[in-house]
Amino acid sequence: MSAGPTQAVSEPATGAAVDAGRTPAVALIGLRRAYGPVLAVDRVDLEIADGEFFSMIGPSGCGKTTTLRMIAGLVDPSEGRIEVRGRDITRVRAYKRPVNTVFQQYALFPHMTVFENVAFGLRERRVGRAEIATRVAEMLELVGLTGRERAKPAQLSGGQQQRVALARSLVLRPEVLLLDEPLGALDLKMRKQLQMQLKRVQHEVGITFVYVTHDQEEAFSMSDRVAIMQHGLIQQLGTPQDVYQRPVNEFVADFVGASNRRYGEVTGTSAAGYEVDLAGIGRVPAAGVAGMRPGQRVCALVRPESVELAPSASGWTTVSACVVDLSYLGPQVTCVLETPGDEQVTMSLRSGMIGALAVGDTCEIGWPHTALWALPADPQAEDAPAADAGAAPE
Amino acid sequence: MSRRLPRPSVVFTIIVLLCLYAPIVIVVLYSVNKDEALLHWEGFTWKWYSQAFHDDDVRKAFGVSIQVAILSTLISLVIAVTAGLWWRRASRRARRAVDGLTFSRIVLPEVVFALGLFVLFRKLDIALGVGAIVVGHVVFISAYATIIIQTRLATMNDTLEEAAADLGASPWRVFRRVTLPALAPAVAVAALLSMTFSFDDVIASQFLGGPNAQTLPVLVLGKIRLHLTPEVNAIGVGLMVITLLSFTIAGLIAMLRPTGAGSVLGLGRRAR
Amino acid sequence: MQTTRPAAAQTTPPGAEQAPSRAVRGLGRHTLALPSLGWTVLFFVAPLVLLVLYSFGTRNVLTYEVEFGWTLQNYSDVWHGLYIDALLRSLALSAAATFACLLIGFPVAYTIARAGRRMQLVLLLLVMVPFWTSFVVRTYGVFNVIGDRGPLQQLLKALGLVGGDIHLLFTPVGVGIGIVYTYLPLMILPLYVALERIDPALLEAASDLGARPVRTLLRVIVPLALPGIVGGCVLVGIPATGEYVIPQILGGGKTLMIGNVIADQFLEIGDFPFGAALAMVLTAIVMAILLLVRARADRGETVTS
Repeated sequence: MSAGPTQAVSEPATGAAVDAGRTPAVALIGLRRAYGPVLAVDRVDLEIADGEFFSMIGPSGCGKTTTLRMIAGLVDPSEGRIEVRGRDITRVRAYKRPVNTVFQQYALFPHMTVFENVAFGLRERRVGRAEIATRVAEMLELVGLTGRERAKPAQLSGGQQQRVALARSLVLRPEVLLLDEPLGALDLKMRKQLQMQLKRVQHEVGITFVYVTHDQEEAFSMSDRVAIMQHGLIQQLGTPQDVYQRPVNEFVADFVGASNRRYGEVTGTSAAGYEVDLAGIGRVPAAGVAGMRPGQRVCALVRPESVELAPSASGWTTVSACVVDLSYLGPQVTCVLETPGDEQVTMSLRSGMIGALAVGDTCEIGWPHTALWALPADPQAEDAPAADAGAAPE
Repeated sequence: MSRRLPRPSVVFTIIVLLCLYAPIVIVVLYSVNKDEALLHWEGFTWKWYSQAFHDDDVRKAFGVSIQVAILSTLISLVIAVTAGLWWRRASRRARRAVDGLTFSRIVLPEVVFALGLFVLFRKLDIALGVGAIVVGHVVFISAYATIIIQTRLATMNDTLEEAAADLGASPWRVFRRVTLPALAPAVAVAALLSMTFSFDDVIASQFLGGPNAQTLPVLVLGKIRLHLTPEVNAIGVGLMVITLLSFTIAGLIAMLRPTGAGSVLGLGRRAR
Repeated sequence: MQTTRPAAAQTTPPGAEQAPSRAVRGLGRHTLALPSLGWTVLFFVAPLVLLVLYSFGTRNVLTYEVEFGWTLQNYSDVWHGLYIDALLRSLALSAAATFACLLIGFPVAYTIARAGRRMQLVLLLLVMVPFWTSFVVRTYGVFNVIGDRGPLQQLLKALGLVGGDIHLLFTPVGVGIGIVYTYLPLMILPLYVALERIDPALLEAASDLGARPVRTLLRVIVPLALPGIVGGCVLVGIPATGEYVIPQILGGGKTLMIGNVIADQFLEIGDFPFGAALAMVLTAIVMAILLLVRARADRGETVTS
C-alpha cells in the first residue's frame, strides 16, 4: 500500500492506494444518500484495493454506517454508483451481492445453532451437505469455536457471538467483508483480543475488509488505510500514520488524537516547509499542508509525544517552561507545562525520562521542526476556546 | 432503519381492515334506513331507534342485562381481589394448582360448563333466572378479573408495604392505605371488563336465564333467528355503543395507570 | 396495633392475618382463597362432575329422570353418523377457519409490526375496535353481508367472480366466514407481538447472506414467530371448536356444530346423559389440544433457554 503524498493530502483522495491498472475491490463513485432533507452521506468517492483492511471512522452520524450499508445493499443510494471488482452492483439486491456483513449486534439467528447460523448462507446457495459440513468446520476452527457447533447464540459470550457472526459471513468467501462496529458491544479487554484475531483472520483469508468504527485507536491498529468522515464527507484518506501526523484540517487533527495547538499565520518558508508566527512562541519552522500562502491564518500542532525534555540538537525548536502538573500513567508520564505568555503545553514522556523533574521546576522543552504541523485555521475553532489537551486560547 | 414495506402487504392490510368494519357499518346504516325490507336506501330515519326504545321486551331485557352485569361484576371483584391477595403469599405449588383452575374456567367451552350448571340447577331444583345467570357469568368473568389483579400484584413492589408496616401500620391499615390504592386502577379496569363480558355474553345467559330472564344479547339473538325486523339494527347499535364505551374507558385507564390488564384487554376477550 | 373485626364479615379479610397463633394465621391466610375456591368448586367443578356422572347414566324414557349407572352406551352413541359428523365438521370448520385466520392475519400483523411506532398503535386499535363491539351484533353484521342479496354477493357478481347465485348463509362456508371474521383480531394480536419482537437486523442478515425474501420468511420470520402463530391458533381454534352463537345465527336452524348439538340434547331433546357424553368428548378434545400445545411449548422453552 503506497501512502499518499508526504505533505499535501488535500486533493480528492480517490485511488490514492490503488495501483494503476488493477481493478479496485470496491469503488464508490459520487455516492450520496439523503433522508428527506438530511444528507446522511453527502458525496463519497472512494476506491478500496483488493485485500486491503480499510476503515471508515468518524463520530456517530458522520455517514460511515450508511456508506457501509449502501455497499451491503441494505440502503439504496440516492445518487452515485457502487462497483465491486469493476461490476456495477448499485441496483443489485442485497441477497445477490458478493459482499457480506458482520452486524453491529451480530444479528445471529436465535432459533438456530452455531452450526446452522454459519451454514445459513451456504444452504441458500444450495451447497451440498458434505461441503457445508467441511466448510463450516474449517471456518469454526479459524475463529476458534470448534466444539460449540450445537450451542445456541444465547449460550455464547459476546466475544464468541462476534466470532460466529464473522464465521457466518466469511464462510461465503465474499469479495468484500463489511464490518459494522463489530466490537462495539464488547468490553475493552475482549476488544483488544479480537482486534488481533480479526487482523490475523484477514491476513489468512486475504479478503478485503471494510471496517466501520468510531474508535480511531481500533481502526489505526488494524487498518492499512483509513477514511475519516464527518458530515457525510470523507475529510481525509490515508494510512493511519499519514492521518495522524499530517491531518488536513482541525477536525481530523482533533479526532485522531490529542495535540498542543497554537494559532498564528504563515510568514514564509523554511527547510521544514513553512515558517509560522505563533502566539507566545514567535517565528518558528513548521511542516504543513501544501499550498498555504504567507499571511494565511494557520493552526499549528505538536503531538504531546513529539515534545521532549532538554533537547539540544539542531533542527529543534526550544522554549523554556515551568512544570505545573505531572501525572504518572505507568509506562508514561503526562507533564503539563506553562510557557511564557501563560500558555500550556502537554508533554508525554517515558517514565524513565522524567528524572528529578517536579512541579514548579523550570526546564527547557522542544520539538523537531518537522513535528510542528501547520494547517489552515478553521475560523470558528479559532474563536472558541478549544478543549483539547494543552491547547490554550489566544 | 426499517426496510420499506412491499406495497401489496399494505394494500392487503387496508382491505382486511375494510372487511372488519364493513359489517358493522352496514348494521349502523340499516339502523337508520327507512326501507323496512332493508334492500335499498330509502332515506334517513330514527324510527327504529324510537321503536326499540319503546319496546317493552327491550326495556325489560336491558334491565336484566344491567342487573346481571352489576351483580356478577361485584361478586367477581371480591373473588378476584381475595384470590389475588392469597396468590401473592401462596407457595409455588399452591399457585400452580389454583392457576390451573383459573385457566380452565377460561378455556373450557362455555357451552359445556353452562349446560353443567343448567343440569345442576335442575337437579337441585333451583329456578333459572337472573341469579342463575349471575352464577354462570361469575365462573368465567372472575377468572379474567383474577388474572388482571394477579398480574398487577405480581409487578407490585413489597417494599412500600413493608415500609408502612415498619412505620406501625396494622396489616389492615397497610392494605387500606398502601395495597388498595396501588391496586385501584387494576380493580377499576377489571370491573369495567367484567361488566362488558357479562353484558356481551350469550351462552350462559341463554341457558340459565329461563323464559323469564332474557338479557339483551339473547333477545337480539332470538329476534335475528325468529322475527328479523329493522329494530334489531337499532338495538344492535345500542349494544355496540355500550360495550365499545366501557372497553374504551377500561383501555384508557389501562394506558394511564399500571393495571396488569394489557393481556386481557387484548387477548383474553371471551368470544363465544 | 389493634385487632380488627372478624375477617369473615369483610370482603377483604387480611385482618385475619394477624391472628396470634401460627395455625390460625395459616388458616387466615387461606381464607383469602375461599371465595374463589368455593365458587369454582360449587359452580364449576361440581357441574362438571355431575356431567361426568350423567354421561355414564341412563335416561328414564317416561319420566326423563336421569338414573346413575356405569354404562358406556352414551359414548358409543357418539359414533353415530349424525353426531360424529357434527363433531368432525366442527373440528374441520374450526381448523379451516383457524388456518384462514392465519393466512389473512399474518400479512396484516407483519405490516403492523413493520410500521412506524405511532402507526402501529393506530393500526392495532383499528383491528381491535370491531372486536370490542358486541359479539352478537358483529355476527349479525356478517349475516347481513353474506345474505343472498347482501353486499358480498353483489360485489362478487360485479367483479365477475361468480356467475349465478351462490348461497353462503346457512351453509358451513357461511359459518366459517363468520368464525374468521369474529376471531381474526385474536389471531392478529399474538402474531403482531411475536413479529414485532424480531430484530430487523436479522432480516438484513438473512438477505445479506443470500436469502431471497421468500426464503427469509420461511427460514427466519416464521420460525421466530412460531410462538405467536401457536398462540393465535389456540386463541382462535379452541373457542371456534365449541362455537355456539355463530352457527345459531349463520347456520340457520340446522345444527351444524357440536356446540349446538350438545345444547340441543339438553335444551330441546332432554337427553341429559347423551348430551353429557358429547360435552365430555368436546372437553376431552379441547383439553388434549391444549396439553399438546403446552407440552411442545415447554419443550421449546427448555431448548432455547
